[in-house]
Amino acid sequence: MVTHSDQRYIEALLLNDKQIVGEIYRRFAPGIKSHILKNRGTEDDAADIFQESLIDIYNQAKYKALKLTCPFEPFLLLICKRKWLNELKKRGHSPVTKSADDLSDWGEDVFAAAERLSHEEDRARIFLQQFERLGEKCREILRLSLSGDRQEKIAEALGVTYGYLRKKKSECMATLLSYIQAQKI
Amino acid sequence: MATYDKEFIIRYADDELSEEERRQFETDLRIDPSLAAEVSLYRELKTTLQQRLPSDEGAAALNATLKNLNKQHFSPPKVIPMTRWLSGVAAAVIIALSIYLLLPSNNLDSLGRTEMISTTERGSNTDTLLQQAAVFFNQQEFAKALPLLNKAVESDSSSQLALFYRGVTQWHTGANDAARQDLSHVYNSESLLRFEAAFYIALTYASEKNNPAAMEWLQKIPAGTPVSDRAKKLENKIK
Repeated sequence: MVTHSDQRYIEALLLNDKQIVGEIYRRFAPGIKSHILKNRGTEDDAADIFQESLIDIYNQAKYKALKLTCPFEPFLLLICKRKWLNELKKRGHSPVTKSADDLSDWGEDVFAAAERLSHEEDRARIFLQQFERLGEKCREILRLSLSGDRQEKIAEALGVTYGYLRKKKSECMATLLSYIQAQKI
Repeated sequence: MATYDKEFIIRYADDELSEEERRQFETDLRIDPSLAAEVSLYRELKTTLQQRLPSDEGAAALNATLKNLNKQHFSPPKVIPMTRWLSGVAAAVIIALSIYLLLPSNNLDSLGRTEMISTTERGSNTDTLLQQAAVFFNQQEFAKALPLLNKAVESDSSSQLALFYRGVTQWHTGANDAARQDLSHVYNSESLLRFEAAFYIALTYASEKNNPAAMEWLQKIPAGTPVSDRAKKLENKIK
């Protein structure tokens, strides 16, 4: 698949290029604001949704080497709309306008790319939320164990044996896995 | 077919099984889709944590840019962005607050900006206090945050997070000696925040114009840490 020329917006987010990020706001924020205001939201909601969506895109670019094969505008709009729809569900509301109306203008590839990104970022968010439910000791052990440092060095720094560290790390990870599976993601 | 607990599955994925255990597990793995799904979930989880647990300076800088642009393009401006998405999460799970710690107004402002994520879980007393302190941080009311951080440290003296932010708060309130004491503790604890702590100790000295001491602490920060770039900038400023 050929990378779309709008990949420059993705690069701008990665580099925190204020000029091009400003262009993203000028060009695309009004559309999102209008959609959210028409669907029971406020300006604050629109700002949050827009910001969170751009951070999701940044994360995918940084950790998943996101390559844009479609125009940026529908991609961003779909991510924002999906996010807002989820927020409305959390609040116990249903949307006023049908999101399916918006999708007809864009190809399935745009929809699939936006859906994939949203799905992966939702999962990552749940992983990190559940990680924070662990006790402090478990969090510290997992942070250190996943830091890339040698496990023997980490055990020494924590004042425990290598065998104990391995056992404790597996226990903490097992607890975290059970938390995540309980979320039925 | 044997049944496996989560720890066994994790030990397999982390290549910690004996040859015989691994062979048997892989035989079962081939015919048990639910076992394969669990291995896959664990690998995804581990990769995600490896990538996203370390603090991300790039995301913090981008968030600052987005916050500014939000003020221009959406109104009224938000005080605490990025928290609303957690609003629907049940009480048992975390609340995260994005907080910017701003230095006192001096020429080190841009170097001292950092983002704090405070979390609470299971009603733990220390975490609740940290969460309350975080609200005052967010409002830059450091004098109000300090008593809460004192209580958080009293409640759990092993909490490196509480010690770190109390150290930074003390610096905001001008108590540099006390700040250095807490931050030194964090630095010596092998906490993941240790290099951030070294950086803030350097800042306390830099704000007192004690440049040799500041340099000494900056030299403790190796390349490749989340604060290495800022440490280099501070070093250049001092020089």
